[in-house]
Amino acid sequence: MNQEAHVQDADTGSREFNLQIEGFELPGEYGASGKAVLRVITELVPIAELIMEETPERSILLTDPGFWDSNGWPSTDGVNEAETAAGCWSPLDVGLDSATVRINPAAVLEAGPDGEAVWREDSSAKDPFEIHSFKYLKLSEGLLGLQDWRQFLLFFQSPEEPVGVLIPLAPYSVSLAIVDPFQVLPEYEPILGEAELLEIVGKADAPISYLAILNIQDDPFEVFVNLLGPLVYDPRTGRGKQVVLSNSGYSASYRLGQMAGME
Amino acid sequence: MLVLTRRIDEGIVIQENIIVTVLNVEGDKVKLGIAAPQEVRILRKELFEAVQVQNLAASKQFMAAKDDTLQRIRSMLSGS
Repeated sequence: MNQEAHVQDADTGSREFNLQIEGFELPGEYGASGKAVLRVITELVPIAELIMEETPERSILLTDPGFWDSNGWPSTDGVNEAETAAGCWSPLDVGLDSATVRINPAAVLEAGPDGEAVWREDSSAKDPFEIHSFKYLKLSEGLLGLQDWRQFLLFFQSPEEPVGVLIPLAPYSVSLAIVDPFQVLPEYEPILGEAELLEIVGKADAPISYLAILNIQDDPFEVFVNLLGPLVYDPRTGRGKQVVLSNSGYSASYRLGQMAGME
Repeated sequence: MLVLTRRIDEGIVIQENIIVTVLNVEGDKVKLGIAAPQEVRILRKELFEAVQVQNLAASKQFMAAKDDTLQRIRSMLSGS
């Protein structure tokens, strides 16, 4: 591999590769040629941002099409070493008003180990399909204390996986582990103000979903679950916010070991 | 920090549309009334800080988490 082409961010673990893309004509916005940076966002799952030198304001999210099965779940163990940019990358489409994330496997950026790359059209690929492992979340006010973190990909390894990963996009940063708070505390009863509900879902009786952030510790019994400040979002649109449940009595550092039957 | 002295029923105005009024004072407790637009988030400082501290800590801790720790957390949550 060309070592010059590769930089790793010590804080986030993301890796950047310099590419020289020889473009092919493809429908839509893909297929541009020229110098580009491919930033592999996390080692947890193969997602990357492609930033063309000439149009840095219009980046494209990419993923490895070979990573996903036809149902949109990981077909491997979920670990992407991402040691190099080499391989195939296809565009991810995140909906503006939808929480769904789709892959377009017919457009493929094929990158070599030395940074040479080419866009090609895979005529044998199937139509765009939904990556069920991902949901796109947009928190209107970001996370408390981390207000710049507003857009996320929420990743679950499988439909049965209880621990998800919240991957911040724009700006990229370290990921967070999240869990369904009702799985931790079945009697959990978050009560939101009418104004907050309307802000998140538009009407009071619309479906609403909750996530609680985990603060991981070496001892799983000492893992903290933030039940005081859940992420609340509309599962149809992915729009939401981190609320603080004033007067609820819930803790921001509820110990996982307090779960029923654990102590 | 701006420091103002107010009596009961007196208040302050922030950004023209947020009004904080002193409603009562009893010993070391002050009761405040806050009139603000619905989209303005108003929180007790200690709750805000508790969530903020956990957010910051969680972002650091997940990077350092070991695979077997995550696996044990999954087992606990799955009840297996």
